[in-house]
Amino acid sequence: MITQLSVVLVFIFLQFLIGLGCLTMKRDMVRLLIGVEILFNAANLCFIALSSNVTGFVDPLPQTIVMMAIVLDGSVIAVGLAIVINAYKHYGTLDIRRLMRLKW
Amino acid sequence: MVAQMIPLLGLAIPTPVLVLVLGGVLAPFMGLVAKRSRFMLREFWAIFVTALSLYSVYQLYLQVEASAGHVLVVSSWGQNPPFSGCFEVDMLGVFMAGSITFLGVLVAIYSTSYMERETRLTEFYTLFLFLLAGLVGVTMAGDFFTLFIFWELMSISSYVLVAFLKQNWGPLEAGFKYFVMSATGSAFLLFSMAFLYGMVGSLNFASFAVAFPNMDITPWMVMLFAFLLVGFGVKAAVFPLHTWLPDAHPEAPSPVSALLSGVVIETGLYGLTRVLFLVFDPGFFKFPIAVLAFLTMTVGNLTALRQKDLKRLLAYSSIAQIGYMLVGLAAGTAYGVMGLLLHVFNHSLMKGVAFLSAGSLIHHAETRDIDELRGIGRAMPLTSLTLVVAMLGLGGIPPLNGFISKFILFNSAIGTGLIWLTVAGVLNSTLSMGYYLIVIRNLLAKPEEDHGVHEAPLPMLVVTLFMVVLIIVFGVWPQPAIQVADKAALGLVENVAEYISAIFTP
Amino acid sequence: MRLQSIGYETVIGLLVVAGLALSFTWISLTVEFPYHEDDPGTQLVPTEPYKEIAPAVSRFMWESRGQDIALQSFVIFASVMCCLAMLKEEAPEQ
Repeated sequence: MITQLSVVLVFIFLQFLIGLGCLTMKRDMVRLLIGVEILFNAANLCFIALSSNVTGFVDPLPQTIVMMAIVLDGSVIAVGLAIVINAYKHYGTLDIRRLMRLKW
Repeated sequence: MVAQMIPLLGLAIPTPVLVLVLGGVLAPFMGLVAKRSRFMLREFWAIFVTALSLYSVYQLYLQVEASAGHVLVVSSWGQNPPFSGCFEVDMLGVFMAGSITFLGVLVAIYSTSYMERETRLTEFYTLFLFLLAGLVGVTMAGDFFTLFIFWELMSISSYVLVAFLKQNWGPLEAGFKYFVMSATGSAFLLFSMAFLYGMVGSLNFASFAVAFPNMDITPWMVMLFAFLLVGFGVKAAVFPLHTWLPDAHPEAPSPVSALLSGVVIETGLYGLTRVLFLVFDPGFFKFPIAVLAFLTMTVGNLTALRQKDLKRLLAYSSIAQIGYMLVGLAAGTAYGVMGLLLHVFNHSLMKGVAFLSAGSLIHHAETRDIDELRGIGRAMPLTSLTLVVAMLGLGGIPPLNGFISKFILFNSAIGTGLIWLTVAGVLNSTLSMGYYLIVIRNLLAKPEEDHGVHEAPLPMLVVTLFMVVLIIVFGVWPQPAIQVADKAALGLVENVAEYISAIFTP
Repeated sequence: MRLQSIGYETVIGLLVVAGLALSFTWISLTVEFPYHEDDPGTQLVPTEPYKEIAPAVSRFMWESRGQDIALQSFVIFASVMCCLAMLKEEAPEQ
């Protein structure tokens, strides 16, 4: 039976797959970081969707977890951007297909 | 000193975590002072903090041993556990934390002389202490979100420690690849946390143990299993998700490689073990984990045969050892988990020695190629001896400790009917001796010109010799390690009722 | 995107993504999500006085998850040290 939660979960899965598709199909390093960020946001949306399932009530635990998860993945993306800056200084390009010197 | 918690402003967290975190926060100030004076203050601060944390893990072990039910719950500010974050310390957490801090002390002593010509040493030691703090926090967490916070602390420290030598292009490429794969794994972990919350109502491990045995297998549980496997498996380097490891481990500085191979991937495996045993029934995940164990072992060993770079060969050998540990997880019994934990401890010692002595050889010879390192055994005899003993231990030769843990692992797989996995494991172990013997032959060969003995600096030499002595001692007399691993495995698999009652006491 | 420049990786990626999307949609629309039955009155916040939701959630957050928020500050400190380590230009000390 199709409840409101299942429709919201379908859209959250679609966002998750958009994030995975962005990771596999894009070749710019900053776009890969944006793909990781989309994945984190899909997981946070899943928490929020599950917090408002009971009619007439709001569950505060997932909302507090989302507030802390936003801080954590913001700091992860900041560290990733620092690595991207240094990689750009060496390779001169942000194309990830050029970063294939380490093979086998 | 009360070993369980020190109420610092009312915040009560287990003492090893507190010591490492405060050590990491105070390390930049030590760096500021060390720049003015010519004294090696940063290195001594790192050694002091890690030694203090090892001592406090030992005190915590005594306290957990003495308490009823062998579980301690630590939470601060009077918070109520099922809805709040807590630390739940049981024998499994103490065992893993002891392994982590022990390797941490030895690597800290080693890196005083390995890293002495590098820049940004303050940040190196700060991030080193935060990496250890994150690792110990993951093993002691009692709530899934507390585990996630320490998981991210461990992860961001390890991304930058891999890409630390940023003058060369190699560490940056390896660090970026590792970053993308590991951050994706963290996102999968957060997603699986959302599902677990939806099914149970809180994120506490004890609530999982209460609520999940009554649930039947729906497609949502299968999806949850897949997401958990990806989330923890990226960090633990199981088969399709291992591709970051052969790039990241060679390009990191050698002390960091020893920590990564020795404890970081095992902490990923600890997370997988803990959550799978609390959420699922062992018969459910026996077959998928057995298939993954077989694939991980085989791919790791077969690809290591083609390697020409010493550290890359050791990195592929780490993947194969994770495959052996997954055999113990696939068995699903307390005996199998005991083999897994014993192999975690033994592998941290053996792979730690292998990476550290390989680092000494590379530090002297300035090359990582196995053919160019031919005959270096005559120039650095003691260091080559340590590398030879470590490789024999990794292959599973009897008087060393690798043999004992591999024996327990493969024996446990027979006990649950996975005989094909045992046969594959023994064949893989034999295959791995193939590439170890190539390296040993190259080390002991006769060089073209004889430069005389030019041994490694004293801290590096003393650490590797001490660890080799421990490998031989634990191979001949493994009883202490087996006893602690046995208590830890029983605490996870059999005594779940005590784990639950420590939180839900009426 | 010209037709000749779409490599085989893009096609395989699109097929995998489409397959996963269809299977996820099928699962989530047919099988109901096993949501937990909760005993009301534990910590759920009623939606009726709408302005009272935010203070109640923040009170819950500080009472129950205060320890995690305090530990998160160390993660922020560690990420600051990470960015310093990656972006600092220092000459080697002799």
